[in-house]
Amino acid sequence: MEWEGMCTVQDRNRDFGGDAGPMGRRTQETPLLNVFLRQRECLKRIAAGMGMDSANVEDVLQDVSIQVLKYTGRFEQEGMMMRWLIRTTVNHCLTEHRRRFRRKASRILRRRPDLGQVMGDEGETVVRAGLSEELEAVRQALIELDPSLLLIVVLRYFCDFDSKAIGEIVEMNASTVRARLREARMILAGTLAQRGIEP
Amino acid sequence: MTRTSCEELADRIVDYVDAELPADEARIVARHLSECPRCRQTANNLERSLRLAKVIWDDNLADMTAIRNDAVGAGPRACPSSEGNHGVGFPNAILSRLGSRLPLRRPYGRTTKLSRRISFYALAAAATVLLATGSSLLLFLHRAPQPPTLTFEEVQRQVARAGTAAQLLAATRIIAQCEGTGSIVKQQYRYILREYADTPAAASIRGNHDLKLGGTQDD
Repeated sequence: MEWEGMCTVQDRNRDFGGDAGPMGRRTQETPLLNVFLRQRECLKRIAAGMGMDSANVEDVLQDVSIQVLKYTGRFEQEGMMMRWLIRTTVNHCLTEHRRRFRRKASRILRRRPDLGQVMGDEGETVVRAGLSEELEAVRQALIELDPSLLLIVVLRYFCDFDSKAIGEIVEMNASTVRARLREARMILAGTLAQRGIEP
Repeated sequence: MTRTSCEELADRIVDYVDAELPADEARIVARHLSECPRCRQTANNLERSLRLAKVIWDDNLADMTAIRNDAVGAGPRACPSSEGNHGVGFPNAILSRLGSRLPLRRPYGRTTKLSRRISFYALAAAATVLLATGSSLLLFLHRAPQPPTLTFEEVQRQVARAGTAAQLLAATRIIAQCEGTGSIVKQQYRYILREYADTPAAASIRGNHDLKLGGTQDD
């Protein structure tokens, strides 16, 4: 195996908000509601990464929208608004909904018949059974993962924020974020190893 | 060159898999991985578990994206994600819906058996109404008076009658210009009115003369 070519996740080092500009830029003309609406899909993605199903995500975003209306005018900088929006969304995910990732591996596999190929596996029944076992193990690990770790993993690997941006959101420095990421990744990887699942 | 231990590299394997190591450190880790099956297995598990986690996240997101496709429009990318079509815009309708909390509650939530049953009955009722309306409309159209269908022969016959009546009328008007032909003229008008009542000539006589049709042809 060519290990040097295995690195798949690039450090994009972008400010979140995409084309919204640097986090600290003053955008007085951009009220909180506009930022919320513009970043709604991003918040939805975060909520999905935190394990909410579609109905729960709607509930969460609705609650956040009410908070948005309540706190309109409180922030002047778009970066602050975005950090507040993410924190509020995550808090609602954590406090209102305890059940996460409800769809079991077998159902996911039924929806993704191509998953074996996507994962680079070969063969049919045996590999598929192994894949189902792996998927279920990771699902359980995500359910059991500490929410603070899950949030960081989701922001990094599902939403592509870099460590610095994540640090600003969760109010940690970037090196702490990296340490948490390592911890979470090792937990997830360890789940496969503990169950004797050989990729 | 010193041999690197697994413990020394434990923290750096994650960074290596994430491509966040400087080049010189990445080379060291790569060399170690090529020699150590255990760490290679760890790196494999790191990479594979993340890919599986992304499958689960994507599945969760795809579920709600599929459901909400009707409500989203094209817009700026919302999330700094490298993946395809998740960065969709926001629905304008949301602005108007933000004020009302209740209608937004579970608008696209899970479909229960009850709601499926209600939908079935609603569909059946709508189909019944549609069928009844369609039948009534067809019946009405069937009973409505149809315009007469003219054949070529019928047209020819009417034209011939109109022509004959016109000729008789013209002749009668010529006779009427002569003295002492009053009774003959009236008799002729009555004849036209009786025999060619549906022609333009008869209509012209009715418009210009006050004739009583009660008399006989001999009057």
